[in-house]
Amino acid sequence: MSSPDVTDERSGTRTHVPGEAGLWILICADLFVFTILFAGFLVDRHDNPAMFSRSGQELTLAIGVANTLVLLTSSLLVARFVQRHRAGDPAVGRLALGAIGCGLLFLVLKVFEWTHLASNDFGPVTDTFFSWYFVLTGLHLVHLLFGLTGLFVARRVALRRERKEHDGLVVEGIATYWHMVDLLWLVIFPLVYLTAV
Amino acid sequence: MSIASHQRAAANARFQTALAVTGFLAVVLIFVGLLLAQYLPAPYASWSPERLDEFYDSHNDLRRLGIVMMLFGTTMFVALVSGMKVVLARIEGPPRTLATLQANIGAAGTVLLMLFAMITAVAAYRPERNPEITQALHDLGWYMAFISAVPFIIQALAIAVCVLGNKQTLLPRWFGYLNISVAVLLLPGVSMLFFHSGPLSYHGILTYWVPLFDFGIWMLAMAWAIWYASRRPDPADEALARAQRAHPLSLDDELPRPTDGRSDDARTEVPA
Repeated sequence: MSSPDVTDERSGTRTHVPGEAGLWILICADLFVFTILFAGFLVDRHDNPAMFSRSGQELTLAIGVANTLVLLTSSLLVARFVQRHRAGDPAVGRLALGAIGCGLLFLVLKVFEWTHLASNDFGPVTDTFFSWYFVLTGLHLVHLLFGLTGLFVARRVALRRERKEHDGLVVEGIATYWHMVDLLWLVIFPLVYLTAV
Repeated sequence: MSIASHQRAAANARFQTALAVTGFLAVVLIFVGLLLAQYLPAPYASWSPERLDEFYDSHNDLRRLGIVMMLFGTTMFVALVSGMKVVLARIEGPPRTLATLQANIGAAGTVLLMLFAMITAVAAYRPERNPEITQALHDLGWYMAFISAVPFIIQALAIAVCVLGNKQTLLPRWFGYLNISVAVLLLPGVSMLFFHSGPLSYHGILTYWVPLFDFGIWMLAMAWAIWYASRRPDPADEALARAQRAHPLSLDDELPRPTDGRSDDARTEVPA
């Protein structure tokens, strides 16, 4: 499959589709699922605002904020990684490693938060809020794990001594997916953590 | 290609087409079956045992007919598993790792789908029994079809990795991405364990409607892929045919040979 890049250097207009066109079937399907989940969360919160507010206070806002900053940093690193890879910079491995480090830090913080909640007897069946909390953050974490695997692949591709024809597409596709993981968190964070405020 | 191998290839293509048609019929049977059994829309997870018992008491003969159709339809899912195995094996060549994974997990998934029809059949068999037992059987049957997302996710991902991970021309790459999307849309299904109402309960949009239509579209897409691939020659055969057109009189030794080690004599024959 050829790159859909049709950037016009002279006029500076870009009609570039990042990654492969087919990848966007997947991104749209994923965003569709999460949109329904977010709507369902809002409906349940509307029906029971007191419970959502009360249970929401049991979450540690600091961990949510930290995870948001960690993911935003990773997205910045991934964007720089794609740029440097396009420019043919051989030292791009460090940027990918930084993004992977951020992803792992997110994972550690999330597992810490879950175990902390579990030790205080909060679980997916505690109430509707916590069902939503664990489903949303759990599904998001599954996506993050796929993304992390992707970043490892992207790093390997970028560090290969000889460039292959589709390397740019692979790196861009994985970066696009990672940005989606970040984007989803940027909705989950205010929805879940700021619901009590 | 010799006449014998031509005939064999034509017969294989016909069998593949038959599998594709069977898969298409399976979708129709399951859909009509669900309608007749009044499982579309689904009974609510929040219903009391008495309410569900009432449901099973009404239109029970029509429901049993629908369940029989579902039993046939779900069993015919194996046609798609088998057809996809052949397509993936053609893409991969030996040792056909992903084709085998797809076939094994797909067979396991087929059994779960059959159990869905069989256990709901038991639920519909004696509606006069204790309502709580009917509810337990109904729940069990429902879980077979809708929390069983995991094997189908693995099956779809095996297809996706095979289509996207190989340099191949047999199937378009969007079919690979479609399979990842199928897996993604099935994923929230497992959360039905935690909910009795809302979009994640077992009658909800993300655990019933989306997976149901996702699954139907997936079955149709697999049927299409099997049919599409059955009408296309193996890439190795294509290269051979091209070489033969370019040098019709060249010797067997000068023709490109398949490198995947298959013993299909069609590949190495010179035209008469």
